[in-house]
Amino acid sequence: MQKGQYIRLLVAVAANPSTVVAAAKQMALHGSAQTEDSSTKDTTGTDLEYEVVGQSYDITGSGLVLTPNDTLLTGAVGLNDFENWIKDQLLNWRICVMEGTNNRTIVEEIAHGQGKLTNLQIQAQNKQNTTYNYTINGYGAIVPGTDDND
Amino acid sequence: MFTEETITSTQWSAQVDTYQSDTTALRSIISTFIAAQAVPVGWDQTAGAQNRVKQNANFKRNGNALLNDFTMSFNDRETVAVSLQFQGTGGLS
Repeated sequence: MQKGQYIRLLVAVAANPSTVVAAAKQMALHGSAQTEDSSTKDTTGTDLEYEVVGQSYDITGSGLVLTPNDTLLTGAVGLNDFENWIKDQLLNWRICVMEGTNNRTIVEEIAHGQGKLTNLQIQAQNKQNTTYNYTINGYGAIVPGTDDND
Repeated sequence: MFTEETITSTQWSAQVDTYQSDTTALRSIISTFIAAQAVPVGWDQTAGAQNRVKQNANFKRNGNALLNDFTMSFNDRETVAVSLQFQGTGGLS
């Protein structure tokens, strides 16, 4: 990452992927693998060994809701757009390195995937500022981005 | 009276917290998680330039472990706080 660049989590409704409705300034990606004991079942097998039988992940993000007049990439954003999140719609998420004015220019993609909203918290705390927190449960595979330097 | 027990199995895990600014390394972490296969994990004393040279200390250990959970916090400019949790599989040598 170059000087001045940030990483952001971008989320859009999958049905309208070109419109980004949230850009989290803080995010965490929690992944976990479900395992099954495959240890040697005799007196020599004291160290547990595992076999992965499934994987899952979720993403939590938080940030400020952008104003309806803000255009991040190609779409208008605002509180109303969360209505589509709540409607059990599939969401696209992207983790991107960004730069430029207000960090609106994507430089490269770290990873992307899809998920369903499982928790949304909207706090109207200050004049003009609204904070949101959400959790997206992963749906399908995580796809690493392509490194242009490879 | 104290209970005395016989150990029938052992397990181990390891956690690493670090900062990262190399996006290729971040992609590698994600790919390691997706692969769902145990990778070599070990610890040792290090020295030299940027502490990259292993010292073969008495307490060094090597094993294989699954990257089972990771957290990336992207709140910092130019750097990412990364926490990796490994679940050991098999013994430590």
